[in-house]
Amino acid sequence: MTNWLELSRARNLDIPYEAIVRIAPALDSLEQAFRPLSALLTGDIEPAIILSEAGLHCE
Amino acid sequence: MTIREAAARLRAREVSAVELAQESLRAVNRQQPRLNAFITITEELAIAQARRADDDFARGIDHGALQGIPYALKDVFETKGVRTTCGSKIFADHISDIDSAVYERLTAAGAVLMGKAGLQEFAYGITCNNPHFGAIRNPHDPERIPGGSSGGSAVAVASGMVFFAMGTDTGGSIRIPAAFCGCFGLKPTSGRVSRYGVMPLDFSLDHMGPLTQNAHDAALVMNAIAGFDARDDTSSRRPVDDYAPAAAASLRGIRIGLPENFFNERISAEVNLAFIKAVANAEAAGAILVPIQVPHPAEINTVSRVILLAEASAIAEPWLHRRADMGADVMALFDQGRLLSATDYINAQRLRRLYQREWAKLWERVDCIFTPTAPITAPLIGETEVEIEGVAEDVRLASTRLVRGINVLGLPAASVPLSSGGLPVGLQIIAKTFAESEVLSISKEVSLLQSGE
Repeated sequence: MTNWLELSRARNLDIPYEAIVRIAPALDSLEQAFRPLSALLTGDIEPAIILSEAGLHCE
Repeated sequence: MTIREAAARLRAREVSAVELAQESLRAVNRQQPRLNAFITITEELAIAQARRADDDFARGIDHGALQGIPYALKDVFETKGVRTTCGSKIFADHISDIDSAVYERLTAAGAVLMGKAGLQEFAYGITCNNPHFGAIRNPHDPERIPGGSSGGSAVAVASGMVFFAMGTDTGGSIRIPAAFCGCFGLKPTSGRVSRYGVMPLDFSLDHMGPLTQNAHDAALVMNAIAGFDARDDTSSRRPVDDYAPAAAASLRGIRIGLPENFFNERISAEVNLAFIKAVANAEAAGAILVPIQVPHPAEINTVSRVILLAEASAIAEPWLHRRADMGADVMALFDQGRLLSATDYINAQRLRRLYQREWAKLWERVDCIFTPTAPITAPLIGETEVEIEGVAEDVRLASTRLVRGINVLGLPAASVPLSSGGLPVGLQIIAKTFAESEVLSISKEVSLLQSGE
């Protein structure tokens, strides 16, 4: 499991200790559900991100 | 009275747009103290827009079905000269210098803005218990939440203050309040309605759509707001249908997918009963029921949470140091998003692609999918957990469980009000991309079957 408090400090985020304690269970549970999914990804699957025509022609 | 009925009365000169606006304002002012549906009431603007509609009628100029029709905008749609708060203390005095594309189009169609409807702070949540502008209350029981985040929009429609309201839906924020308040709500396909000038919660999950009394009225609103907008990079160039459902439409031969997994699990008895009845009505009307296994529904919800947490925190980054100006619930969500990794976000977007492909195969077998919109009816204000089939579940997760994944897939989905004998229940109808016409047509038939027509 990720140490959210340490992570927050390492990234220099101004999240108070009490707030980390409050959100840690939700993040733990999300991480537990998400990690096995990303492990199944193969290299040929690209992100569902739209490159707009306008964006592609930006100078 | 529906939009269609009001439009007919306006054209028969039985009522003027100013009279309709005054009637709407009386309803707003009478019910606002009890329900708190609005953040800003635009009385002067409404009368001015109504006068313009009447002037156009008098000169033989007809902009279509919405001319002279009172409506509300969720307070994330920017309106030049009228504050747009996003339900946040930080934006409490924010007055934009642009109009959102939706407001531009509704103004061009002659619709009459009665005010800016209340919402969950930053449109981030489903209770509408807003710490800065007060709790919005369900018209069926003011001790209950209206659902959210477009709660004020749903309340304004369901209580008859306005004929329609615009909402936004990032993880069910149109469909949940529609279900809890007993009105119709449509989340269109991604790219169908411009996001330009809407204060965003998220980059890739936000959708704009109408809340109305019924599907036909939603079709009339869609006819005014749908279509390409070069100012929104995700806007689709695909031609727009005429959404008004055909008078002779029927459910005969329509293949309705009925999920045998996930969407039929942990549903409250009240919701289940109304859902089973609606499905039986559809079958009796000639629809073909097709049992289906829906691919990866729980996993899509997980992906939705990763994407939403990360994107919402990225958008809100400039204000996240103002912790004292934000409610605790919303701040907790923003904090979670800041702690996710870039790798997780990218992988969530890759999984999204995978799941979109798998869901696309479903449309070879069915024309639409029926599910309950929410597994529960409206919870009490302040209630944090509900018990379904003996299992306790967080109110926010329960309310979004059956709807949030559809935003990841970008599919159109509606919530149709069902009669339950108690609190309102919603039926969710999902279809393939850009099949809004089919969703609206099927929704209309489902409603007619309920009323026995």
